[in-house]
Amino acid sequence: MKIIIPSSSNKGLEAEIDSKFGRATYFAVIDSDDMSIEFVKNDSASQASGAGVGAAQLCADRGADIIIANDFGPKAFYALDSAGIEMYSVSSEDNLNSAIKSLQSGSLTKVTGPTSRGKR
Amino acid sequence: MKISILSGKGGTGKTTLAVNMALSLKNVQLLDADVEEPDDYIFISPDIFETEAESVLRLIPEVDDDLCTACKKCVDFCEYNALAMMLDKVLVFPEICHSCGGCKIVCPENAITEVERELGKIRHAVNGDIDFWQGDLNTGEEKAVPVIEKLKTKMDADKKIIIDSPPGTTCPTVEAVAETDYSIVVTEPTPFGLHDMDMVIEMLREIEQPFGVVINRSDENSDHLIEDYCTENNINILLKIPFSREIAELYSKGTAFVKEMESWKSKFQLLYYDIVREVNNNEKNNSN
Repeated sequence: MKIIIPSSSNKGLEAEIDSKFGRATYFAVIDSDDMSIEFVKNDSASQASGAGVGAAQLCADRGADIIIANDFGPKAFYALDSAGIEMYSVSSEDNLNSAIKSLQSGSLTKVTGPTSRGKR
Repeated sequence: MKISILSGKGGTGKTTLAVNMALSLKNVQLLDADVEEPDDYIFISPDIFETEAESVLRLIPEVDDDLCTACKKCVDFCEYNALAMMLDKVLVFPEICHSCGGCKIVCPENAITEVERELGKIRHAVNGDIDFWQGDLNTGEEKAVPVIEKLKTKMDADKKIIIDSPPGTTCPTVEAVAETDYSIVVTEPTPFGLHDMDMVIEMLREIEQPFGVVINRSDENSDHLIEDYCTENNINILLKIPFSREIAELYSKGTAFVKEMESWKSKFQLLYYDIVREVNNNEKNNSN
């Protein structure tokens, strides 16, 4: 299963979660079967508008099954939901490792609607 | 004569200046181009939302899913991420769309057509000597420029035109200021006011727009913040509106203060004619 998490650095499983989904610096693409990890730079981060949609497209193109993030804006939520990707919310103080562990232990909350107004 | 009124931050006094100036002049046209939060109407025509409005429309793409082969060319083309491809289906995000029509052109299957969408409204009212026009952006819409463009088609060159611009330095503000003869930058004597005024002035110099400054909530103990900056940068301070309880109370009741403080009318008239003189001088100098 492919899990994607926005991260502020590309330093392995200890990398911190980027609190902004659309404008995250990187996306950590994690394969939960072997815990292999690949960091993808988020080109949408610097775009004037539609960062949430662009980031959602990137995650869908990478074949995400699950996304764990601190915050999902309305457009990102709609795009990811349309792609059938499951979303879970996590504290921005977590790192990738603790987020995955929380997901596996079932302690993360499933996101069923946008968690913020999003940014322009 | 077309004068635009702008400020770096919201809440500095654009509305105060625009409505009081308009109420002090004859044969005037006031355009409220602060389309995200127009509030000149409170002082000019409180019932404006009961009048019939004219729609501002723009085109956004609509995808025929039966014709679409999910080639993703439209998504890749869109610089603004207004389109996404999810499970082989194109999603359209109308609020982000800039209505460029590019997606329709790049689609090899002719699966994209453009449909009209209302993004705002233009309203009109007359109050005595004021021909008042207002643009308002529909809730949830992000593109203010087309509403301001449409609003500006209502300009009557035979009138003294005052445009109340959106705050800031982004596209909507530039659109409101463009093609006006002169801009008034409203500021307040605070560090925040100074900082944001500096940004506006940088933008105005970039587009080579003539301008002067009006200090609102003027106070002798802090005006030096703005005065020092203006002296240093060779900028004319046109007027000071004092930090006064009376003005604030009238504002909070929705009353333009020139209605109760008649002596201010002549100050706004003087302000207007000072600007006319400066614009005429500039034109003379430019033609020499």
